[in-house]
Amino acid sequence: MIYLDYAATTPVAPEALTAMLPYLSDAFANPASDHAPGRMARKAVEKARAQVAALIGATAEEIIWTSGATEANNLAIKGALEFRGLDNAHIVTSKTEHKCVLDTCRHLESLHGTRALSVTYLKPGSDGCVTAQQVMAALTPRTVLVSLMWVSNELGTINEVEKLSTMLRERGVLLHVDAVQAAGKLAIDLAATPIDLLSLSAHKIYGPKGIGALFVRKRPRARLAPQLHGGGHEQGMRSGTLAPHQCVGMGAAFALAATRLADDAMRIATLRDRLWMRLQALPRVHRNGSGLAAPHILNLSFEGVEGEALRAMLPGLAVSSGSACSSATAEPSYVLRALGRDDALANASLRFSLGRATTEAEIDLAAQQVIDAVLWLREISGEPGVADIPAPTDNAFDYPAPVWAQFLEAGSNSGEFAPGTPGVQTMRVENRASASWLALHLRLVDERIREARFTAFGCPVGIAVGHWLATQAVGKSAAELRALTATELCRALEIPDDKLHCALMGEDALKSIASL
Amino acid sequence: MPAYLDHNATTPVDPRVIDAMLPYLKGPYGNPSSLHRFGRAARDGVERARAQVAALVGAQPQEIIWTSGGTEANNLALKGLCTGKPRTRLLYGATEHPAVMEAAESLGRDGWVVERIAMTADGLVDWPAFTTQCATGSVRLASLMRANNETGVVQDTARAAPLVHGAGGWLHVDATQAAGKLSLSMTDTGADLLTLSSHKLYGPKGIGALVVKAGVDLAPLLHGGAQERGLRGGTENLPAIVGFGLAAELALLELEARSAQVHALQQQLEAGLRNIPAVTIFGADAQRLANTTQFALSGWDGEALLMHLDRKGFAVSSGSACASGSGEPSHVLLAMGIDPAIAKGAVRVSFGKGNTTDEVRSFLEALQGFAKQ
Repeated sequence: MIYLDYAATTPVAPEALTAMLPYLSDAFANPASDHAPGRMARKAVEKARAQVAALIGATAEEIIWTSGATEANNLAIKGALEFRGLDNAHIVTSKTEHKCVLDTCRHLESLHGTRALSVTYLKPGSDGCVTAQQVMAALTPRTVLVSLMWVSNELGTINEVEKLSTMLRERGVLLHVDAVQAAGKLAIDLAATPIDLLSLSAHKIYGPKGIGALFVRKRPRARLAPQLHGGGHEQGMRSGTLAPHQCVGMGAAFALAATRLADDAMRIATLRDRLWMRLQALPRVHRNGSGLAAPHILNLSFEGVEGEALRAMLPGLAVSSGSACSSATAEPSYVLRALGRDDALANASLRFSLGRATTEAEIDLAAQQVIDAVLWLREISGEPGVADIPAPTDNAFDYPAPVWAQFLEAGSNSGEFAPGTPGVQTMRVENRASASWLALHLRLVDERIREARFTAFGCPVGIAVGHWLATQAVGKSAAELRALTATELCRALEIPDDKLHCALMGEDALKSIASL
Repeated sequence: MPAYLDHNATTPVDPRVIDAMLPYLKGPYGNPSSLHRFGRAARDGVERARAQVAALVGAQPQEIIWTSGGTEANNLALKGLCTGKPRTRLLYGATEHPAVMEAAESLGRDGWVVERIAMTADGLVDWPAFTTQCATGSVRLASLMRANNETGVVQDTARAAPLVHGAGGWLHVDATQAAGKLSLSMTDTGADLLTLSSHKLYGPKGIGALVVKAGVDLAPLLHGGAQERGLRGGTENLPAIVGFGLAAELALLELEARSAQVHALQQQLEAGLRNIPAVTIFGADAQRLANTTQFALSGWDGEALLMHLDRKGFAVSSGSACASGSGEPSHVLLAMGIDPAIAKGAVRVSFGKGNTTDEVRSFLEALQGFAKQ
């Protein structure tokens, strides 16, 4: 398995893990406890706080621990707005923010009030970037907060937050920056950059999951209403028992990132460029977000292939198709749609994100796997053939066994007949909702189907249906084929209910067979 | 290493739990929300733990919502039930943890009518008063803890359930201290929502859960991502979840043995305390957790006593670690009608798996020394 999903999560660095372990065993005390073991835990937490601060040019007392970046983003936006009063307030953000920023903004908009809060969602340019100028133009006298990510988690593109921070400071508007993908990748110096609030995550930079932090500027002081109430931990801004092993792990990861930043960035950018160069061997590949980019992310859309089939073809490659947080829904990325990609192209996109352990050999192998998969799927949809593309062998997404078996064999009877072949009838049906299509090509001799082929664009189930029908058709009469129903197809291939539309597409193709 | 007698503040992680967590800390496990194989291996770990935690409280796995700990779970319960709802009444026990009190008071500032539930001198709900309180008007929720973190007093929360339901509300039970120390189930506690924390039962810090019965109408507190059925955004804290899961399973398996062990220590301690003339044990006549004894030594300020005990190598607390250092008398004891002068002398001993009779003996010797001063 080649892991190219470092923007979703990273392994914990051995240095961080080693630092964490004592705080899981002997040094387990509650850092809020006022006894010797408690003070020892507190000391470790405070050292880690200073390590986190050091990477971003902040002071330790400006770091508020949270359970992760989602909580940090929630705290920054809701906390700032609640402190200033929601009535009549205005927020500027972008359509390509992380889901938790967008969901938080939408939640604030939905709160009922006589003078409701409003949010402007800026659309990035075709390069994937939001410019400082764009933000400034969206400000109104009511604007109290701008929330903009430093580096896009999907595209890797860099927004002009440094330039923006100075401009907003002059206007007296608070700036919150989601720096989850920027920390450890770009040099950040908050002593010189007047950002008011900045969110950090540990598990994106080789620290543990379940911990993050919010930078809250002291001078001038950014004021927040707390979102988690309780014992008054974290200067009253975030209650809850701290987990010293987590804090220490994040501190160690940030300290490590500080020493490695320049080397990591250069090496990883070189590998990223190598991957992009290799994949450009394929025609009709589009890079999403062409603007200035962080070193570790490459987001591509592949024309002429369906997204789910592409992912199924790459069982040995851990990559993301959109933000992991919304992968469960498997909807086309809203970020790519915001860039103007249509649903089909947005769906057929992969985000490669590279990390410290990524090697040149992995990059080359990954590129080859992607090229093979795209060419194979394009061939299934009738594009000029490419010889000897191996089919995938690992049913990583747990398709029903008959579906998977048919899918693997799909190359054997895909494609159209040579133009001018006598007695050929083609039935082509589409499914608008899933943006897929299936075509059966039947060659008839003496009222019987002598030879059958298919072409298809769709998920593995749709392709399996095409292959199975083409196999079944041989030797049958038109009437016999027309009698075959979607129910029988579902039974034969064990097609699950949520893929019923694939079976129906097959039935529709058979129904349209003309009388012979 | 001092004698650690502060297990209600936090417990060490069980070595078996650390072993279970390590592969998830070291290994190539992904983000549980990722579709690829690493992501799915991670998800399997999360779902196994969900079943383990559910089993501890006799709940269904799908009723478990992971949180960053007990404080977040309490906040989620209270605010999640109230957000966007017509502002009626919210009741909470006068001896609740600050995470419940402060969450409730924040809702009070948002227009909710927030009322305390009165307690008797034993730290138990004043049932006649509570019955009247519930009958006075409609209630959105009442929050009561199953076992008090300071005194260890165990509350019959199930008795509150019909009263709260009768007033149209939900019952939230903070079981942070009860879990792993008492046999616990959603049914026996009468809870519609129940708070759990991992680090009080030999699991890691930074993870907890809110158990939410089907049909309870809850709004999320953390927005973003579809994790936890949309009720709690954020990448799952995989190693901690796995650790919590095993800790919950072990707590269930070993409940009786653990209770018996700490109960023996508690009896030894309390027998010794009763021989010291100036000692008051709080909640002495109520059912209490088998590991918890809170007491005051007459003539001693709690902070000073703690400092002396700390120097002698005893890690104990005055009450809530969350409020330590404030110098204020415990709100729990004040709610029980304890004289503030006595309450200020409170010391809480909370035993755990590692404690020994020798530790109790030397602790009592130290106390006797202080009592003579």
